[in-house]
Amino acid sequence: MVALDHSHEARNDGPDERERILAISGLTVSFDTGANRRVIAVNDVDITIRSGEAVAIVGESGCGKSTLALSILRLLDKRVSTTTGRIEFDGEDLATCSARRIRSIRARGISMIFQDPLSSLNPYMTVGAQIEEPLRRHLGLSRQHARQRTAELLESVGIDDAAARARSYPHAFSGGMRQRAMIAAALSCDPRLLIADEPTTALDVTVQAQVLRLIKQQLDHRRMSLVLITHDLGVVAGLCDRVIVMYAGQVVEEAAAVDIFQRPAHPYTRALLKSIPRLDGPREEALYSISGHPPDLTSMPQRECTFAPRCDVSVPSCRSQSPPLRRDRSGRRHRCLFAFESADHGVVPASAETSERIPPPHHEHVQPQKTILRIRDVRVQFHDDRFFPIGRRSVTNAVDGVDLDIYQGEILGLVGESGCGKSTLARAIVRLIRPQSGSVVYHDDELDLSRRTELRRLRRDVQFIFQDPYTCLNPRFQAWDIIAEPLINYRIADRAKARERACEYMQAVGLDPKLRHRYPHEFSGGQRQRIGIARAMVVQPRVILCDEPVSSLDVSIQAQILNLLLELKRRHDLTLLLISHDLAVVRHVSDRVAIMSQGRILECTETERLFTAGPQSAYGRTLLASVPIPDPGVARRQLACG
Amino acid sequence: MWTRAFNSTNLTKPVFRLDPITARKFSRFRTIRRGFWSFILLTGLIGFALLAELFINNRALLVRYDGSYYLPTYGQNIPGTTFGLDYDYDTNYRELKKQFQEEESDNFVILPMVPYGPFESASKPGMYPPHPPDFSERHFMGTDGIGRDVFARLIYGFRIAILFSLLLLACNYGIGVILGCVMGYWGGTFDLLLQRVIEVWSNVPFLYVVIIISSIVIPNFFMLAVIMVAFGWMSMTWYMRTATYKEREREYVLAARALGASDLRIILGHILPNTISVIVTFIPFSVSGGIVALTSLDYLGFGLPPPTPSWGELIQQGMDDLQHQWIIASVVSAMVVVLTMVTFIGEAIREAFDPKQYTTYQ
Repeated sequence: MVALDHSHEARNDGPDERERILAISGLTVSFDTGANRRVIAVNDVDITIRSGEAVAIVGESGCGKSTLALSILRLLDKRVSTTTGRIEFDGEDLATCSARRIRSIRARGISMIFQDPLSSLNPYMTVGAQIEEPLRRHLGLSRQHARQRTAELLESVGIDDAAARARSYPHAFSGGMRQRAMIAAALSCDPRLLIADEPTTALDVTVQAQVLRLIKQQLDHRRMSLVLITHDLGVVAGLCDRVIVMYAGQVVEEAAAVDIFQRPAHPYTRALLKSIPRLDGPREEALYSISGHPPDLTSMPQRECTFAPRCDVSVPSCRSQSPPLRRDRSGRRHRCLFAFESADHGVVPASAETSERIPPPHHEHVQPQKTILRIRDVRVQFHDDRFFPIGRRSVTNAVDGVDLDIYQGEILGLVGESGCGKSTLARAIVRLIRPQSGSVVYHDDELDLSRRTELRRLRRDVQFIFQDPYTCLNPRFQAWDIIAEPLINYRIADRAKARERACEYMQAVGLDPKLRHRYPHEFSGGQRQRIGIARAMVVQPRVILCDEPVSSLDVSIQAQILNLLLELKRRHDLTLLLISHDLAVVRHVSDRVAIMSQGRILECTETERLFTAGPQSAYGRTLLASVPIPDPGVARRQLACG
Repeated sequence: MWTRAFNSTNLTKPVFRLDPITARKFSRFRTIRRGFWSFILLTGLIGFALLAELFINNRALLVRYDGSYYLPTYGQNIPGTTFGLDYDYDTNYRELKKQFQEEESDNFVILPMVPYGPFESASKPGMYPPHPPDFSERHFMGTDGIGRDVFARLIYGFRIAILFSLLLLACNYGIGVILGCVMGYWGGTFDLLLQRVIEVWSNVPFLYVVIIISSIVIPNFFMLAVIMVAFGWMSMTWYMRTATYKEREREYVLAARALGASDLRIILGHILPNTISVIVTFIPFSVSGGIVALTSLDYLGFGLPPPTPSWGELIQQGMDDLQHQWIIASVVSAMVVVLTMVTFIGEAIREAFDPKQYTTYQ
C-alpha cells in the first residue's frame, strides 16, 4: 500500500514530484485499411506515468486503448500502421530505438498481460518453460536457477505445488490459473511497468476478484507501475490511482480515481458511469443509455467535438469547434467546453433526463402466476467420444437434474459462472442439445419433443437470442434475409412477404430499414444484437431465452439493448429467461433470480429478496461479494478484505 | 401491431448485390495483375478455341458463286458440284480460291486465317511430310508426320482438353462437395465408414484400370471422363468435410436450427455459401490437373482414339521425331504457356481468398 498512499499525498500537494517512467506525447496511430482509407485509432495522445503509479485507461471497444498499449511496445504491424509521436521510457525514445533494444525493454522494462489467457500461452510448451525462457534469455540465469525462480514466481501468484504445476501444459490450467501464470511470466524479469490489457475480461467474477487482488498485491510488493486497460469501470475503482478516459482515439478526461467516480467532468464519463447497472444503486428504473454509437474513425470530424452527436448537454458551439484538452490546477484534464461548470451541478445534468426514456419495468407481482414453461429433471451429459468403446467413459454432468418453473410474463434471471451449465440448460430446453432426460411442459401441455411437429411448435414459440452477435448471424446473408429466415422456415410467409415483415421488425428494434441490404459485418455489435432480437421476435414467440445477450457489448450499448428487451417484453407480453454472469444486470431487470452452479440450481428467489436478505447458498454469497463496484471506497475495501 | 407505421416502398424490387465479402475478394483478385491478366488471356484463348472453326478450318468462311453466297463453315458439306467442279465430295476451297482468282470473275472465296483442318493431310508435291513452318502456305507451326497442320491440331486439341477438364471438374466437385458436406454435417459413424471407403478406393491404381479398360474397348470422350471421375472425386471430400465440420460448429448454424431450418436448408443455404472459398481456391489447380491427365493418357496411347487431335499424341510424335523440332517445340510451348497461366490464376485466387492477409501483431 506504500506506493498507493504516496500517490494520494502527491496529488494533494499539487504537481507530482516522482520520477516519470513513461512519457507519451503527441502519439498518433493510424491504420491503412486499403483503398485510400485510413483509420486514426489513436489521435494525439499525451500520457505520463510515474513510478509506482497505477493508471487506468478506460473506454469502449474501438476507442483506441489497446492500440495505444500495443504501440508503446512497438507491437503493431508496420506494414499497415503508422505511428508518430514520442514514447519516452526512462528517458529513452521507444519509437526510434533499435529493434534489439526494444526487445530487451519488452522483457525487462515493460511487460504486458493480454486479455485472453487461453491464446496467449503456447499450447505446445509447458507453462514453466514459457516463464523460464525470458529468465534465461534476458537475465542469463542457468537452467537450474531459472527453474527455481519459475517455481517461486508461480508460488507468488498463488499457484499451489508450483514446481509440479510448472511442468504441465496450459490446457491443464483453468482460465484463472492461466492468467496467474501470464502474470508470473510478465513479472519474471522484474519490469518497471506492467501493461495489463483487459486482464480479467475473459474471467468469471469470482476469479476476476482473485486476479485483481493478486495484481494489487504485486503492485504493493514491487516498485512497479501499472497501466490497466479496461472497459469495466468497476475493475478500475479498487486498483487505480488515476483514470484516463478515452473516446474515439482521444483522451477526453484524466483525473484521480476518486474524482472520476465522484465528480466526473466530461459528459461521456458521466454517461458511462450512469449506464452501468449497479448492485448498490436504485433498481426501479430503466437504465440510462447513451444514444447512438461511437463514430466511424475513418470519417473523423475535425471541426467538432467527437462526442457531440451522442452528448446530452451539447450546444451548437460543440459542433463548430473541436474542444482542446484543458488542464486545471490540480492536474486534472478534460476535453469539453463546459465540463467544469456542469460538473458542479452534481452527477446528472438536468437535460439528460429527457433523453430517450422509457417507463421502468414492471416489478409489481401479479399473483398468482401461471407457469408457462415447466422444466423437470433436465440432465445433459457430455462424454468423450472414443473410437473403441473399451473401459469406462468419462462423463461430465453439464446439467444435473434441473427443475425450473418459468412464470408467464416474468423475467427470470439465471446466473452462474462459465461452465456451470446455464447455456447448456437453455439449449437443452429447445433441444439444440439432446438431453439425457427431462420433460418440458409448455402451457400445461406435456410435449413429446421427440416428435418433430411438437418440437417445431415449441421452437416456434420459444425463441433464442445468442450471446455472440458476431458469430450467430450467417455472414453471407443480408440483414433482412436473416430476420426473414424463421418466417420462411416455418412457412408463415413467402419470401417477399417475409422480407416485408423483416423490415417492420427492423424498425421495431430500432434499426433503419434502409440498412436491410447490409451484411452482418457491416453492422456494429449493438446493431447486430438488434438483428438477433428482431429475428427472435419476428415469429411472435411467447418466450425468449436470452443467452448472455449483452455480455459481449460495450457498457453504453448494453444499456440500449437491455432497455430494448424490456420494452419489447412489455409491449408483447413476453416471458424472458435472461442468462447472465453479471449479477448487476440480472438484479436490474429480472423479477426472479435462479443461481446455478455445477449443473444444479442452488436457489431461485425473488430478486428483491435475494438482494435484501442475501443469498441462501454459500456460493451465492461468494458470487455476490465478487462483483466489482464502481466506487473507489467500496472497491478498495472489497479488494483489501478478500 | 406496431405503433409506428412502416412505409413499405420499393420492397418488392429485388436488389442484387454481390455479397461484399466476395466482392472484396474479387477486387483483391483484380489487383493481382499477373493472375488477372492470365485469367483474361486464358478466357480469350478458350473463347478462341470454342470458335476455332472460324479461324482454323479447311472450309471457307464465305463463298460467292454466280451471284449467290454460301457460308460453308458450319453445317453440312457442300459438294464440289455446287461450284461447278467435277467432284461431288466436300469442296476443296483452297483450290476453288485459286481457280476463281485465275478466272478473274466476280466469284470469290474468303478463307479462314489458317486454311487447314485438324484432320486433313495437306500434301505438297515432291516433298514428304513433316513440312517445316511456312508462313506463305500459312502452316504457322509446320505440319506433323502425315502432313496435318500442327497449329490446327494444337488448338482443336486444346479445345478438347479444356472441355474435358471442365467436365471432369464439374463432376468431381459435384460428387466431392456433396459427399464431403454430408460427411462433415452428420459426422459420426457415417463419416467414419465413408472415410474408410474413400481411403480404400483411392488406393486402387488408376492407371492400371485405364489400361485394362482401354485394352478391351476403345474409350471415347465420355467413357474416359467417367473413368477419370470415378477415381478423381475423392480429394475434394476431405477439404469439404473439414470445412463443413468447422462451419457446423459456428453459432449461426445453431441459430438456424433454433429457427426451424431443415438439415437440407442448413447445408445448402447456410454452410455451403460459407465454404465456397475452399472450392474456388482449388478450381484452377484441378483444371490444370485435368489437362495434364488427359495429355499423359494420350501420350501413353490410352486416351482418346486417333485421329482425335490431342496434345499427348503430338508430344508422342514429336518425341519420336526429334529432328523435326517444330512439332515438339510448339506443343511443349503451348503446354507451358497454358499451364503457367492456369497456375498464375490459381495463385492469385488463393491469395485473394486468403482470410489471413493482414495481421495486427508483429
